[in-house]
Amino acid sequence: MKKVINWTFGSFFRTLGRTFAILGIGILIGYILLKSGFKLPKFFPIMTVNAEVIYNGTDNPTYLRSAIRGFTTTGTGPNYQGYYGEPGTVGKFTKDDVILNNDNNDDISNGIYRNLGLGGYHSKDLLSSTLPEQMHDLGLFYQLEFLFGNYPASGKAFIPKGYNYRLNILVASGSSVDISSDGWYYPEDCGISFNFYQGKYQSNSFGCNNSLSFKKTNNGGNLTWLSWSYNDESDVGKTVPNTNSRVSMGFPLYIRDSQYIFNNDTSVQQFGQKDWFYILDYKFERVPADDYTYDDSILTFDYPNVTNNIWQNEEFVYTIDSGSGGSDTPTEPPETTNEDINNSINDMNDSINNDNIDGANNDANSFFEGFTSEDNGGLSGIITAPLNSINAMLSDSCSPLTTSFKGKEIMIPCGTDFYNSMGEVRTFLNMLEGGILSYLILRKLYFLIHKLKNPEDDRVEVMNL
Amino acid sequence: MINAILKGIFKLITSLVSLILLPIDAAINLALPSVADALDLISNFFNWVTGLIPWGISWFGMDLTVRTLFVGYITFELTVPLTISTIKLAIKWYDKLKP
Repeated sequence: MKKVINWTFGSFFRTLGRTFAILGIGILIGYILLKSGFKLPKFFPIMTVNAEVIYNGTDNPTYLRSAIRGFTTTGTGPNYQGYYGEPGTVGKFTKDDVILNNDNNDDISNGIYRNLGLGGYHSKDLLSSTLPEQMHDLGLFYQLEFLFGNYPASGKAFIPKGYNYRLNILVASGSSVDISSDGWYYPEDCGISFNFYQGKYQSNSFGCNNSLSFKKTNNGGNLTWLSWSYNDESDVGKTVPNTNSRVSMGFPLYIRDSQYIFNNDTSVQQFGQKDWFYILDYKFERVPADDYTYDDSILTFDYPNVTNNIWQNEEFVYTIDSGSGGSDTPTEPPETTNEDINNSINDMNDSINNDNIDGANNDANSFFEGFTSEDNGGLSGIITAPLNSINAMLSDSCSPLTTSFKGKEIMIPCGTDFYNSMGEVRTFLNMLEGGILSYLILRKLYFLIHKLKNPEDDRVEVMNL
Repeated sequence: MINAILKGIFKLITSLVSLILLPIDAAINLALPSVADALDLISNFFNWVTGLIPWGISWFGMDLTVRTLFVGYITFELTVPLTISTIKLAIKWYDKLKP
């Protein structure tokens, strides 16, 4: 027993000691890398405070564009047809266009204004040829698309897992913005889509849920921050499939299925309460896990000096009214009948008597899927670090290392790319490595089992963590 | 299949350790927030290092089968000797205590 306790505590403190030693070495390496221009914050997410701006529009050529999609309605709800308006090159937001640096609380009045939706990027003719007329009558929604970089490296994850994300959009309106009375607006349909353009096309869309909400945080005159949070981490972290892929992230920003902008002859319709809708700035942030609320303290900059000279020449209108588009209205729970209860009991009996285990593997896998590093506290994260490290050896998702040195972007690719180019040599190398390693492991196993077979030997000999 | 089982075992152990340490972590968070931040920094450093492991492994050119074998061996060595030794110890105690 004493030996077991000794081993347990010994290995614990040994691990802890080595942990701090590694930490010290890591800090030293980090310091040296920092001095040489290495962008450490990319790899130290926790070192950034409450919300780290991931894409704030200043990373040229990352830019924002708007797209438009139409839908018709059926008896059961919206029927999306998948028509997109192609954004024009004029829609690019480059770093020169971004007008606000919130971190410095700059005055935004000196910037260039871009409007969201139709006016900035789409001509009326283009829309009329792109979207069928019935869509003009029934609904359009406006989608913001962030295009990340030109062509990211293959395998590079553009949204790291394990964090929550939030898109903040600063918009301005000509008169008043009243999205909903309680400040929260749940779009009638919403979601985030990740797309890879060119090369291998992939698309992943995520539906609307309570964590994906649209919040008006400050009505302050002509300015409004809209914050869109996203905390479903199960499918972020998508990696770029190949080097010819462009990554975009789409945010349907506003949906109207009861009002429309175009009629059949594609002339502009103007509704009673109309607002000009402009994007002034946007940020895509990584936020702490428990931070789903917006920090109003960020609104410390001056209001812009909005003049008609900037806005009056825009051709299209964007209407907003006090939408009813909330799915947050509580509904009465359905009444439970005796038949429902009997059905539930029967279902349970069927489940108990069912000896089919075909789905057991999937079920067992899914049981572990929910756990992520986010569940770790600081202490448990340290204690389980060795196990996580061993577990990471089984991972096949390798991301190239990227850094910048003296202003030059450097990428060290994964070894897999290198070995794949070697053809048969790789097979030979695998055989060689595998053979030697297998021999050593089997040899150690033999001696280990030989010791374990001795009933008098109760020594606990495990490898040091 | 073996790969999935191994991953499951590690996740299970990690989850259980986290569960056990949850009250301690919560207490540290509450009473010593600075210490909690420091622990978080360390933990995130480890996460960062862990994230680099697949990249490092990829340069060894090892096939997944070989890696699975290696990790399986580590798992075996970390678990089975302790279990068997504990059983042996229990049997010894029983031998001594039995009338």
